[in-house]
Amino acid sequence: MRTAALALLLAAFAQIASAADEKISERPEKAIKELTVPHTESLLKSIGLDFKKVEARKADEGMFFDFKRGPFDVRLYNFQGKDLMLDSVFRPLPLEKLNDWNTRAKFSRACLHKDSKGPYATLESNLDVAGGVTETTVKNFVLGFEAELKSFDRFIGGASLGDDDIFQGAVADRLENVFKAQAILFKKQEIPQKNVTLYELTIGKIPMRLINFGGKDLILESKYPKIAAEAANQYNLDRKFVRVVVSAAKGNESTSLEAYLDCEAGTTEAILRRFLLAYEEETREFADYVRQQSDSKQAAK
Amino acid sequence: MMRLATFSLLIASVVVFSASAEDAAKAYRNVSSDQLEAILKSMKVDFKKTAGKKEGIFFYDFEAESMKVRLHNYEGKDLWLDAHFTDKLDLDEVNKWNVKARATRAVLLGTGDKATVSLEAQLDCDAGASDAIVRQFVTRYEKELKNFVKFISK
Repeated sequence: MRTAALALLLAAFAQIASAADEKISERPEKAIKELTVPHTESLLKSIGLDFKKVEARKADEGMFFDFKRGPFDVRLYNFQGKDLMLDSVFRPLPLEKLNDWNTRAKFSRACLHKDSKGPYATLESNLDVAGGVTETTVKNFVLGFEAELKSFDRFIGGASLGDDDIFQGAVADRLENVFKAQAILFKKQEIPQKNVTLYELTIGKIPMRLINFGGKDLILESKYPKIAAEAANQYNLDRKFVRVVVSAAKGNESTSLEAYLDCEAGTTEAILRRFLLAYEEETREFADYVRQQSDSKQAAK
Repeated sequence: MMRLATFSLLIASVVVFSASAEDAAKAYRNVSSDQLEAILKSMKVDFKKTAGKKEGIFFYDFEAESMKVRLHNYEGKDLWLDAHFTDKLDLDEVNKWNVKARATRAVLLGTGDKATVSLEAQLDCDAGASDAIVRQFVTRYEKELKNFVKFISK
């Protein structure tokens, strides 16, 4: 009888303990309103980050933590425990391109900065701690930034993505994959007798034409008002990866900006993407150049 | 007979395996000096290497189509090929070449008696490259160089 009563009592205790456990796991995480440097360190360690702690030059800038996420160098700023910022540095990009990102991104912003070495772009993300966060929020903030970086890198046709598999042939299929992934609008026209495919593209509102010569060579071209041959030559002298050509055909006086990609020995989706998106940047800069040429011609009159 | 069949099967699997290994080949994002030199040697290009003023920049001078060609390696990120012509070409002719060319561009440098024309091609290795792509870059340039020599001698 005693044994039975003890067993019943133990069972009752077990039920109470299990209910308490459930309550603990359901209990909301404790909110933090200030994240100290040791606490930041322990959080970063808990998610397996190998970081380097750097003290800011100015005391009010707090502490930095540098680490790698995939191929990206990331810096976490802890501003006096009140707010956190993550950033990663990229090559300088046109303001229009950064603005395009900022209009579509949810969790980050792209900025253009300048220091003694010249301009550079950054992708940044902030977390307000003073309003109250949990440890999980901070961990998700840090870990989630990598996805944002990858997406930005893809957006700018970056060189640090994983799609480096070399393929030969089927260039058209891969090109169209890139168009779709980059939300590039295109109209396709096959010219089978010449083994040529023409694509009329719009990248960042700029109309351009891509000519695919049987998957072996690709040429991108866009048209502008005619500029002087000297100005075209100067542009070719100053730039790489593009060529400016002046068309003097009667009734069709114009200037073309061209870029070429040889795919005969193989290519990758990353190469195709860079080819397209780097050309987009070139078109913006060349449009400015053509405008300057026209302005100085007007001024000289 | 059995041995021959087994041997053929083995050879066939080796061929299939190498083909799939080739299919899965990855591009690299940087061409080191060692890699570039090995590629040039495999192409039997007899080159002379010099270092640029800046760290990580190297030049490789060699001959093609009886012309002095320079291959520039900019920190493994960009490769650049050029050859300089002292033939008198005006901007109109330079532009005519650029209209018909695919892999190269011609640029007029300097003015008057000192004017030269540079025939150039560039490869962006930062976006990805392979030994075959670098080899093709040099081979394609040599072909266009040959055509350019014909173009200016007309």
